[in-house]
Amino acid sequence: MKLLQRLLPVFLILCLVSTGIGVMAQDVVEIDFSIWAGCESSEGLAIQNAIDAYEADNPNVKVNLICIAGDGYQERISAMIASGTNPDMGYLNEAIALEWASEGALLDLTEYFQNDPVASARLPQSFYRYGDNQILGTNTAGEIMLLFYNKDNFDAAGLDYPPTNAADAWTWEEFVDVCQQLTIDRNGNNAASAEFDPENIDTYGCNTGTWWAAYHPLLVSNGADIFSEDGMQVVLNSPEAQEVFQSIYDLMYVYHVMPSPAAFQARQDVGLQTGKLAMQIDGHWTTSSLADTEGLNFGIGVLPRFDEPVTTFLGGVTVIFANTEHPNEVFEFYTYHNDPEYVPMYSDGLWMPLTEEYYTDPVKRDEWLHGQEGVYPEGVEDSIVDYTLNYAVQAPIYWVKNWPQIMDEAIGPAIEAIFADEMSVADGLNQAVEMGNALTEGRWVNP
Amino acid sequence: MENVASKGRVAQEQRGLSRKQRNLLWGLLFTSPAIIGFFLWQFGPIMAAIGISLTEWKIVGTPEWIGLANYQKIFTTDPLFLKSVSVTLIYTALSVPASIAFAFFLAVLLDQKVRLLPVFRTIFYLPSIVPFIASSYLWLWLFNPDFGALNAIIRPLGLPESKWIFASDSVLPSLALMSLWGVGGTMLIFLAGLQGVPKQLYEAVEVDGGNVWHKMRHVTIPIMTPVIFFNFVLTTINTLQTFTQPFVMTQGGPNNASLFYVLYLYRKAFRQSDMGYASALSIILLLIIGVLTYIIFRTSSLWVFYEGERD
Repeated sequence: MKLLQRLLPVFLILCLVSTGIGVMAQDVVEIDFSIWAGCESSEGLAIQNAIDAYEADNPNVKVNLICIAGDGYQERISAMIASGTNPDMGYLNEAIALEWASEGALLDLTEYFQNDPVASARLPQSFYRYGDNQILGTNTAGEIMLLFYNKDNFDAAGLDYPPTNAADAWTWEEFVDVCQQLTIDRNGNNAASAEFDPENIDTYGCNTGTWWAAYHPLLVSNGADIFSEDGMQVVLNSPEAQEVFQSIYDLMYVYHVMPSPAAFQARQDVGLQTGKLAMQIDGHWTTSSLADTEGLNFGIGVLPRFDEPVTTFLGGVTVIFANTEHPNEVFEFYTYHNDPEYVPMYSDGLWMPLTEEYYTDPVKRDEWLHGQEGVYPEGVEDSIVDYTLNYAVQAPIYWVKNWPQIMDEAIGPAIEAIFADEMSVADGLNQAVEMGNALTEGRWVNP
Repeated sequence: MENVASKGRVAQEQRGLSRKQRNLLWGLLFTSPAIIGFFLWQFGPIMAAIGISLTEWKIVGTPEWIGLANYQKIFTTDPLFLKSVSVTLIYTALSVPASIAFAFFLAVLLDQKVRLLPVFRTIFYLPSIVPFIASSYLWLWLFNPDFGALNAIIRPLGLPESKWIFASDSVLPSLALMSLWGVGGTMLIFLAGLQGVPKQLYEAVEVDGGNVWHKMRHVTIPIMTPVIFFNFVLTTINTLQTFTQPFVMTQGGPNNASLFYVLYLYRKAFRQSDMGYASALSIILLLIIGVLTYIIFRTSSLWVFYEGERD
């Protein structure tokens, strides 16, 4: 008790002093910004760079970075929203952002973009729009789907590297042929040879991935799509779409050049980094982790095509919440947080710039692609820059309503069953269409 | 003496409280942390969930009152509701009896007088303190059709290999098999119960010429029925709320064959941010669990034996 009595005055004084500081500090605007990466991760540190730059230019603003690493970001933000303690600005899942924007929980950024000539010059594919063509934000960063490969596998087989120019993209047959030559069993036979043993594969030639962003560009390339243009129909059972899924299925179960989902899960060593996989279709962000791998000799090419060469443009969105008290300051910070000038994640290979001049102005382009040695391989002026500007279509997640439910409940399970060899391609796609059509709600904005 | 007692009684009555009332007051005071905790963290949220279940609420914005529309949708037009209920019930029917039997079997083994008994007890209890997430990842490996340990054991024996969690007809039995790994807690309760079985009853069986089976059938099991009952209720309630294993291992697949109820509820709440609908699902789960528990309790008089009870 005596200790308490002695400490009490000290405590009271502290209280008074801190209130005083609070009163004096009222001129400082505080912005909370949440990201789904650790504060000490390379992304967290890079964002901190942008914060430092912004705070130096705006001494009256303080940005608090809220780092929510790993799973559970969506849950945390939801809980914050429900209790009114959400940040001013944050990364957000694309589909949830569209839903929340239409409920009025996100700031309508249409006018803010209109009044900012630099921000409004972002890539047209990167804008998320809702309601009456209003803008809720842009991608946090640009991303497209690409063909990554390990050069050592190609050199060992004496094959040419995949094309980097979309105009020269492999046809699907050429792609399968290369996959076969690069798939090697434990006796050293490749998948094109008669002695090939599919039960004992050492190195796989390719992995297209089985998630929507992997098959979407292939569908569009073949004149198919996931949804009809009005967003009311799932059109995965068209002959062209069936051809694409059958082709991916055949890579696994007919040609044995791509690991099945079960094999992929078990063979943790199947990856470009270990040399046990020669080609992988994945998002541009993969560049960063491949470049970080010591001694890995990787390249980037364009996706194989069925008909037209196409890639898909995608990426999470950064939003500003409608209940922010400082919309102007927050929007200004919005333009800083993914400006390549302040954030090193572009030359790291994790993000693609959103501003068009980084694709068209050779000086800026070199800053991005060659600002750091040993990140981007040769040919990315074609396979990334030209590919993005001239061949990238927006992923349907930008415009289809009710995306999470349709993907979780109708399309995802059916595609999973096809690739697990549980259902035929036709049955699986018919199931996806039948269940999906009961859930479609159209588009967020009419084109 | 009488004088003192009557004085005390007078003093009490002067304060306006009888002994009974005072006892009640003290009782409430001492149990208040639990009672307040219950109302704040359990009863309150349940009431809130009932309220939210009658609204359309996307987490953001104001909840919009829609009456019983969520329930109507769940029971009439939602194909995955029935799917998830059947997945959960099938899994419960597979997993609960198997875990109870297996835990009981282990407890009987660990009740024998053998060397290194504490070591064995520790070994069999240990898996149950491994976090679900970690054990789920471990079993993901064991279950792998091509490279997993389970098929590697089966293959040389000439038995048919299974695709385990990677096929829709084997995913639930596989997960039920995995649930046996974590029966340590149940086993411990059985073990404590076994040690309370009076030794003279076994001796009586021996005197009557009974063997091991007779001891088990006529002494151990009847005396253990209250413990079996307790474990049965708890395991059932927990199993109906299975979430981590499908969340980590199968994401509900293949083709929704392991779409457990709580996983479905979680998706509605946090992936589709449809809180009203998710709340309605949670209330229905509460009712399902309540009804099943009630049935188990009602049937317990048929098979649970309490010492000192008269027929």
